[in-house]
Parts: sequence; C-alpha cells; structure tokens
Amino acid sequence: MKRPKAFRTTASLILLLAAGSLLIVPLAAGQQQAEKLVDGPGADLVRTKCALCHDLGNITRIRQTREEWADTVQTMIKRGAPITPAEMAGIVDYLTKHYGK
Amino acid sequence: MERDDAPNEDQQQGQKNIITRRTFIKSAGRLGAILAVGSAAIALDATAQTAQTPASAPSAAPAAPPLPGPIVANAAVIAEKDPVMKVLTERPLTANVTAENLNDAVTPANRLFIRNNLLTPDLQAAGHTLTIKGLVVKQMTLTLDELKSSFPSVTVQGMLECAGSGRTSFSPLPKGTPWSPTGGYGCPRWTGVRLRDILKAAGVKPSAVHVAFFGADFGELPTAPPVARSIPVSKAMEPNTLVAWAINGEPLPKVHGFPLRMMVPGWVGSASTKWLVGIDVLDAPFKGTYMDDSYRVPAYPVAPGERMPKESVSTEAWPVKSVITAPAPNARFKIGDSIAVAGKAWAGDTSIAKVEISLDEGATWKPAALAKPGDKYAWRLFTHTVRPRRQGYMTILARATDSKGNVQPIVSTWNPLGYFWNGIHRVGVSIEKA
Repeated sequence: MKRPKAFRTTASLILLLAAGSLLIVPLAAGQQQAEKLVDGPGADLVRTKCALCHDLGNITRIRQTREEWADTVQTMIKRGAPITPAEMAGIVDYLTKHYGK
Repeated sequence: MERDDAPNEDQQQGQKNIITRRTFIKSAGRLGAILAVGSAAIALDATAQTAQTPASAPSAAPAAPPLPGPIVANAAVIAEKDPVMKVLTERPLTANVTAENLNDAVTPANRLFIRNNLLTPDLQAAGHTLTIKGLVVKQMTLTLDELKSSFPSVTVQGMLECAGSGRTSFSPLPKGTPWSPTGGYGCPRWTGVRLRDILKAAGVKPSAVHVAFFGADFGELPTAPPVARSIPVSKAMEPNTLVAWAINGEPLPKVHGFPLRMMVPGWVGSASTKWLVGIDVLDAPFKGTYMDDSYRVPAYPVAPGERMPKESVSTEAWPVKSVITAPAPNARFKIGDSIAVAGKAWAGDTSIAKVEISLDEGATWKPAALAKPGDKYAWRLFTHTVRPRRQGYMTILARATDSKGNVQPIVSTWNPLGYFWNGIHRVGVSIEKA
C-alpha cells in the first residue's frame, strides 16, 4: 500500500465507489492488505486472523524477535482474537521468519 | 453505513451463496462500513477474485455475529475533516495532522487527530447516561441533561495528545500507530463539568485509589474487551479534568466521543475515554489489557530494540515538548526576508518556562517570544523573527524548557512501545538570492 492518502483523495473515491457494488469496497481493501504480506506458510492464517480487526500494515511496518511477536499475538488474544495455541505457533513462526529481526 | 442493505442484496442471490453472504456480511457489513476506500483500480481488480475467497476462508473465519449497535463509517468521519488530515490506519481508524497545519491558536475540531482503538459507535444524545459506581457512597446514573443541570459548566483549553505521537521518529520503529514526527495532538477548547464535582456528589470513599473510565465503543469481534483505562484519584480531582460534551462550543463530533467523553488534558490521550458511559472508583489501577499491555514504558532506560522489561510503569503526563508550525518545511525565502517563526510548546502537568531557537544545529540558542499563558493545560504560543543573510538551506530548531527545568532532548529515550516522543523539532527552509 502506498503512504497514507489525503482525505481529499479518499473523499473523491468514495463517490466513485458508492456507485459500484457494495461488495467491491471491503474486498478491495482486503486485497490491498493481502498483497502487502509476504507469501509463505502461515500467511493465510495471518490474513484470516489478524486482519479480522486491524490493517496488516500494523504488522508489515515493524520487525520483531520471536519473543516479541509472541508477546504481540498473546496481547491480541487478550483483545479478543480467535486464535488457538496451534494457530498462534503458526502465526509466530510466519511473523518471525518474514518480519523478524 | 450499508450494513442494512447487505443481507437484502444477498437474498436476491439465493441460498447457494450462503458462504458468500457470510463473508459479505463480515466484510461488507463490518469492514466495508468502516473502511476508507483504497484505490478504485485495485477495487476493480479485486472483484475478479471475489469468488475464490469463500472457498478457502470459511473454516478459518467463522461468520461473526452482528455488531451490538450502529457505527459511523470511516467515510462519514472523514467527510467532516479538513483535507489536510491524512489517514494513517483504516482499521482501527487513525488520522494525523502535521505541525505546519496546526497554526490555529485553538485547534479546530476538523483538524483534531483521530485515534480509535475499536469502531466509531453511532451514539445518540437522547437516552445516553453516565453511571458512577464503585467506591462511592451513592451510585449515580445521570442523563446528559441531569449532568448539565447538576454541576457548573466549565470551558477549558487543553492538550489532547496520543501517547504514541511522533512514534516514527524512534529508531528502530516500535509497533503501534505510525504517527508522523509531528502530529497526533491538538489543543481545542473543551466544555463540560469537572469530574471532581461528580465524584464529590457521589462521595468518594477513603479507600479509593484510581478512577476507571468506560466507553461505549465496541470492536468487530464480540470477544474484544472494552478500552478501559484508569487514572489516579489525585488527577481525577484536578479541576481541569472534565467530563466533556463540547469542543470549541459545538457538540463533540461522533468520532471524538459524542455525546460524552473524558478530557484529561496534558496526559496521554488514552486517559480521555471517548463515548463515556461509566466511571468506576477503584482501590487499585484498573486491570485490563489496555492498562497491562499498552501505554507502558520501561521503569529504566533500555537499549533501542530491546523487549519491554518486567519493571514498567503506566504512561501519565506528557513531558515538555514543542513544535514549529511556521514556516512550513521546505518553504522558500530570499536573503533579507523577515521569516516569522511560530510554534507551540506544552508540558504535561508542568508549565512552559522558555522556548529557544537555534539556526546552527543547536550550537547556539536565542530566546523566542512567548505569548501570555492561557489555561493551565493549553499549549503556549511562541514566535521569533529570523532574517537570513546567506543563501542555501537553513534549519530552524525549537527547544522548550518547563517550569521544573526539564529541557527537550535531542532524541527521546527509546522505549518498546514508542511513547512520549518529545525530541527537538527542526524545520528546513531554502534561502535564495534576493
């Protein structure tokens, strides 16, 4: 995704898209986010679970150690993320491999 | 905004699209309603892949139940804002205004930054109540009218600043909202009643230690806990701590907490709970993920990039800080021009003692002129005139000192969650031959 857009740009697009199918808008954004994530085992899990509530940019712009990613995912579980222990392991593996430091 | 329409459209498509419908309700009903749009070109490309999404998604992404109440779409929030604002994240919605767009002495509501943790609830004033409970003699539930008629109204200009303001100045970049080096703060006038008047009416028991605030916002998942935070009783009793319903004389915009919010000026923004419905007087700080996992800094300095140590403390008042709001970065002047440097300085719970300007990367400093102090938690305006004598690039630095002698650092102490950036602000301009 490009750098944040000015409201003016966004506002003009709203009119454009409001005329189209309602289906377009959310999937467009979802697709936009999905394209940002590095492919690999666990990527779908991250797309499915983490993107339930927040932009994937929150992930891709930072680099963290395995311990830090585990802390982050644990906090997200406390904040309601429906992630099982097995899924958490897969997510942390993926994030550490592609967004580690 | 189109949540009600979503099922109707799907019903026309029939039962075979049940998974599509679920996905649709989840994405269109929730994400769609709140997402600011991306580019139209990407939107059209994405439709081709729509049909593939349900095939891989259903087992991993069960349909979420309906939201507990109506929300305001991001597009509607944005429509009320000044075009100078930039969206940083769409989910949750955050939006920034950089220093050169904060020249107003009083921040207009349409240039106040946005920092949601969850969705923007579409609340109504009618029927809205505030409940005060916990360690009080008399538990109370007040309507907005009762609140306004029971206690004296006060208007206070005060700083509201996200704890992570300026986060992208930290290296390495900590997780969290990517606030630009300037922005993530504003200083409007707030009208409401003093929290202490409410607490006195309820009768705070001697065992009270912290006061927690609860908002009516909710997340996309029913499992999302409320964004609840608490502050010490001493700050709750501070006369500038308000339960507010107006900003610059107008009702709060929905995204800024309509119809009621906390205003704890000078402290991290997360203390100023939006969409306020509950106040709980406690015998200890509130326990919850927004107290325990966020809004904390290490109890001692850690190396950049280190993990949060076990010893950490909750973020409270902002340290001394200043920004140059004029000239704008990369402005062009001529030799001999009179350049009006202007800016704002603020200092959490203390006050501003002086602001200095440097044109030589901090080797020498000259005092800026300070405007008369206003309300205790309002930013202080400063001005300084510069007359450049040679051509080339010139960097203007501003540095504030507070009433306790604390000076802005060159670079703020790194911390794992990227809070309290108050490093010296610099603006570069070009000087051309006359």
